[in-house]
Amino acid sequence: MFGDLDTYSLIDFFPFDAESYLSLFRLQNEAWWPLHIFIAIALFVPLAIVAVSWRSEQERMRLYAVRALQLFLVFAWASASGFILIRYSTLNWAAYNLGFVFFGQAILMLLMSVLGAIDVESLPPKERGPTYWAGALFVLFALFGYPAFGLAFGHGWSGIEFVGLAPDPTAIATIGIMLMCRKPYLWLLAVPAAWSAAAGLTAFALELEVGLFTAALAAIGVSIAALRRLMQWRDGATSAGVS
Amino acid sequence: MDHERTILDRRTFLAGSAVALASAALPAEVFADGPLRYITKTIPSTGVRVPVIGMGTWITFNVGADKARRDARAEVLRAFFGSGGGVVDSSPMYGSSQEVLGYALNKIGRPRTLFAADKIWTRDGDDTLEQLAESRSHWDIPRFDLMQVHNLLSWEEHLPKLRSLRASKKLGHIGITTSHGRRHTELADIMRNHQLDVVQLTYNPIDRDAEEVLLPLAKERDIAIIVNRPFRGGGLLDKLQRHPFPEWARHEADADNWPQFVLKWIVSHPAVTCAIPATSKVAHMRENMGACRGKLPDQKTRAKMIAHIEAF
Repeated sequence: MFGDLDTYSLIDFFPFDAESYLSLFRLQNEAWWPLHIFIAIALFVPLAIVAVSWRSEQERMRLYAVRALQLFLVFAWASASGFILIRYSTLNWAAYNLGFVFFGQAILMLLMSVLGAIDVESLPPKERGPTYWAGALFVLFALFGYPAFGLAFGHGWSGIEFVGLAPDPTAIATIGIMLMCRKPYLWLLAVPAAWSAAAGLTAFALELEVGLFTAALAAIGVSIAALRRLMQWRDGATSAGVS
Repeated sequence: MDHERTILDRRTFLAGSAVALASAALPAEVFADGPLRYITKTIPSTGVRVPVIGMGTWITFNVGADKARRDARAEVLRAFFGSGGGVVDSSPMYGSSQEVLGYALNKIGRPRTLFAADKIWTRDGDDTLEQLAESRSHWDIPRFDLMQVHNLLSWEEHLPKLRSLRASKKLGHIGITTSHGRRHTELADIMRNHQLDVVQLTYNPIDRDAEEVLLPLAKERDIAIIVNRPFRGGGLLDKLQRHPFPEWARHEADADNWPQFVLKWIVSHPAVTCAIPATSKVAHMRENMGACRGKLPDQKTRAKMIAHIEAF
């Protein structure tokens, strides 16, 4: 469609204005209220449980909480897929296929949960390390920070971006939960990171603020995950050398 | 003189080519009587007359399913037709704009002065007719007055099909578009070698490449010119509005503000038929449509206008 890309500016790829973009969240919130309350409980309660559970007698409860977080990820990406296909693609023709990518991410989350790849750390709190706690902060920011930012930037309650219903906080919550895992697999972060970059570009083109935070947070989160994987790989190589 | 002042007679406006050709041949003053006088120009190939200020829908009408915002756009459209508007231009590339247009047109009662212009925007040459039908369904109209190939995309495949539809009266006019000054050389070749009714391109006091070849060529080949991005996406007005409005333009060009100043400068070019600014605000629409009334600047005044802008 765009034969001579160099003659286009960034705004040419966004055939809508900031007001139209923000109205998508209002429509989404109006359609799904009061699901927000259940989503918040479904994310916060298991997050709190995995944070305080490490003793052997708490193992069953911790496992249930981990399962709940895994289910949340599957739901959140399926829901974000619906947001793209039903709402965002009405404004942006380029977004339609992205809806299926998001649905693929939901399937991937389900498969990796079943295969045990999304395995939240179970060490005692003092031994969990900064990556884990950074991840927990990411999830909390996705849950509470986005509504707060939305209100601070004048979008009103009806226009906030809510985790599990809007892509930005969903991407950040996903990165957060992966950082809390024993092994934060980078390839599971590819779609959240790509969306976050796109959200940053959208925010830049439309002169919005929230998407810029998404891009910045995702960059930090993926960097932390990459560093952690690098250290795990180095530690593994060292152990192999010793043995 | 290429621009005739006329009453926007809703019965005769966009009437058959015989009537239009006859009217085009008459002196301008014939149409200058009556309470509402709008400046129109003629599409040379058919003689159909259109008001010199039309309306684009890029970004402004892409409001999705939000009913309140759709209703607001219907009011913009009502203001457009209430001020003598005719040409409305959209594209499948503009997200929900076509659907919102259809909604707004139905809401305001489908003005008879509507000159519906849309585009074919697909790389697949087999999709021409399918996309046209889909666009018509979005607009909820029986026929487009103008169908253009968007950004020269697969024009070799689309143009023959559009020409065939035009021959069977299923389309009023056919054309081709570009914007931002892209592919002017290729566009000039198409204009030289193919029969077109309309070419749409970017032309404003900053982007004046079209003056070199395309506008003279359009004049020579009897092709109407629709001008997009007259305000450079709003950036030009932001720049101009930092400066005081020149009082002389009120009586020399019948322009009362910067948007009218720019629009009158554009549509007073002898080769330009119509400009299609886009807006989402009723007040801005009325401001734009003010350029459809009064007199157009002559060449001497045009030169003074551009010199004034270039001095900033």
